Formats: sequence, structure tokens, C-alpha cells
Amino acid sequence: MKINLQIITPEKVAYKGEADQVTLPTREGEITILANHIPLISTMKHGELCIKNGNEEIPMAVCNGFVEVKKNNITIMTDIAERVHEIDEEKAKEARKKAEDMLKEKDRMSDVAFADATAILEKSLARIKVLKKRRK
Amino acid sequence: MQSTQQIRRQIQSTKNTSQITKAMEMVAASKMKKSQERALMARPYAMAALGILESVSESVEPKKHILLRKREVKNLCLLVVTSDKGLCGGLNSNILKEAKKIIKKEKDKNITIIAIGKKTENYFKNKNEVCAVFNAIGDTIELRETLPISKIIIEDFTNRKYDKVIAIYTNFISTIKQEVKVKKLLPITRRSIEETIEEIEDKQEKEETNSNNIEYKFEPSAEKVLCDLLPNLIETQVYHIILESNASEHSARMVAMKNATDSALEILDDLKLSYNYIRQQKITQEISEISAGVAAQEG
Repeated sequence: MKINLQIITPEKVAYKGEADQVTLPTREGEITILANHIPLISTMKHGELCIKNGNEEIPMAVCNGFVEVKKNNITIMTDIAERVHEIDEEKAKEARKKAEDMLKEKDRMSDVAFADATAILEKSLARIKVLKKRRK
Repeated sequence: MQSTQQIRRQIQSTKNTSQITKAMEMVAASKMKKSQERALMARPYAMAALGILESVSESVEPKKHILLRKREVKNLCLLVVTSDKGLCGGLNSNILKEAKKIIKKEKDKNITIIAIGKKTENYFKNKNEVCAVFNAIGDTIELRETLPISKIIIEDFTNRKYDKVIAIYTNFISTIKQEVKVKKLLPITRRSIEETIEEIEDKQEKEETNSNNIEYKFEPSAEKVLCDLLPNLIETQVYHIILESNASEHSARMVAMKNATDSALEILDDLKLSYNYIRQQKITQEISEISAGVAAQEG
């Protein structure tokens, strides 16, 4: 039994197809969804998402979003969904450093700038995490 | 009768104009392709967000969240989306016409405008209360860049600065067809969700959305999911609206410029014809003068 998986970002449909299982980071902790999971709606945080389909394993960096499990259809909406080869390590590290520097002065920041910096930081952390784990 | 010199000058300037419009057409065409793609790519996301909201709203009492609550409308906010630049046919004037119509209809209410694009700003500057202006939104807009707009809408709605938010924008249908769309953004109601879903589905292959009678488990809780989801939904919709408007703008501009080039070429043909006519006439006259002169000398 396979599940129908769809991963959607505001820019594109990042994955659409069958899978055996998918592991994703929710706000409550990491969960793995297999076929015949009960209907579920949950929120996601930044981190690593992993699709397993047969012998193939596809890791992705994701950041914030929602997951809906309905029968064997899974819809994942997230801000980013990047595969390992799409991630630019240098850029991610640079972004993390920049965002961390920005957040040091958070007392003087506007709400929007703060949210922006946090979002950049979370995205770069997710990217770096996936890279570190998969490059070994 | 015009002199040949005059006509020649006209021909030259028409030629130049047609070259410029041709170039603008090319630019618009390439931008159009990109923005159309982006608008189409963003649709599944908007769709998924609405789908999840629909599932959630079945399990949660809609009165629970302020963004879902309907209240008496005293203050109305219009989000009017036009382009920064002109020369794109009737696109902007259609939007402004629609906005004017709504303002006239709702004149007993307090109306605030959020202007997106220079054309809206210029139009409403001295007429209505404009609370925010967003200009120079690029063609390669990202979701992040539209967040300030949605933030203003959500915050002011929550603080009861206005009781209803309506967006007026151009919906992209095809390269030659765009239509003015009036969409209620806030409060979010079942009906407005369903309408939006239908609208997007019209343009895409219909996917199965049989979510009836499924008991969802919510993590952490339905309320929490809702609190996260609703602002996200508004953000997505605003982003979507701007992408659609962008795609429409470039398509409209391309078509307008193509028409301009075509009519320039037509005028050019006419001018060339009358130029040759006059030239021919002149030659004929000269020849007859010469031959008359020769005839006079011989005789």
C-alpha cells in the first residue's frame, strides 16, 4: 500500500507522486506517516523531511507549513522544499550568519524585520541540517 | 497638398514609433511568460491552503477566531491592485472604474484604500483616505515581499479599524483575456472559500475534494492550527492576487503593444502610398514640362 504525496510551496509543486512513507518535523515532534494513517492536520516547523519510496530515499529541507492526511492522500504545504542538490551550502551558511547578526539587535528592530530575520534563520538552519546529515 | 519632404518626415517618425512599440512588445512577451508561469505555479498552493481550511472549518466553530467572525460593516477597506506603469490597454482604467463603482455603492460607509501600484496611488491620492501604498512591486515577487500587505490587513481587521476587506484586481485567464475581479478577503467565510476554490478549479483539472465526514485529528489542537492557518491563508491569497495581476499586466501590455505596432505599420503603408503618388505626379509634371520646352524650341 502506497500513499499519494503532494508537497507544495508557494512557488511550485515540489513533489507529487507515490511514496511508502514520509517523515516530517511537526511542532510537536517528528512523525512518520505510513499508509492508512488516521486523518490528521498538523503544523510543521523547520527541519528535515524524508520521503521513502521503495529503495529510494529523498531528503528535503522544509520550513514551516501544514500537513493534511486524508485517507491515503497527504498534502504538505510549506514555505520551502529543497532537495539536497538544490541547496547552496555557502549561501545557507551566509544567510544564517546574517540572520543571527540581525537578531542580535532585535531590541531595535521592527516586528516585520524581526519576523523576516527569524524566517531566514529557520530556513538556513533547515538547509544546513539536511546538508550535514546527508553529506556524511 | 503635402510636400514629399513632409511625408518623408512622417514616415520616419512612424517607423521609429513602430520600432519602439515592437521592442516593448518583445519585453512584455518575455516578462509575460515568466509571470504567467509563476501565477500558474502558485495556484496549487493557494488551493491546498483553502482545502485545509475547509477541513478545519468543519470541525471548528467559526465564531472562534476573529478573522472568521462577521460583523456589521461600517468601515470598509479596498485593496486596489494596478500596475506601476501604463501602456497596457484598459487594464488599469477597468480596475479603477470598478473601484469607483464600489465606492459609490458603499458611500455611507467609511472607506479606506490600500493602494498597490502607482496608478492606484495617483488616482486616489486626493480623493479617498489611502492608508497604505505599495509601489514598485517587481516582476519576480516573492511571498516574503507581500507579507507587509497582509500584515496590515490582518492587524487592522483584528483591531477593528475596518470590518471588511475587499480586493479589486485583474484575474489572469489567458494572454488575450483578463477580467476584473472583486474578492472578499476578510472576514473569511465558508462561502468565500468555496467560491475561490471553484474559481481556481475552473481553470485547472478538477481534483477530488471529497472531505465530507472525515474526523480529523488535530495536532496540537484545532484552534492552534486555525490560528496558524488563517494568517497564512491571507498571506497566500494576497500573494496570489499580486501574481495574477502581474501576469495580467504583462499580457495586456504585450497585446496593447502588438496592436500599436500593427497600426503603425498600417499607417506606414498609407504614408508610403501617398509619398509615391506625389513623387510620381512630380516626375510626370517635370517630364511634361521638359517635353513642352523641347517642342517649343523645335517649333
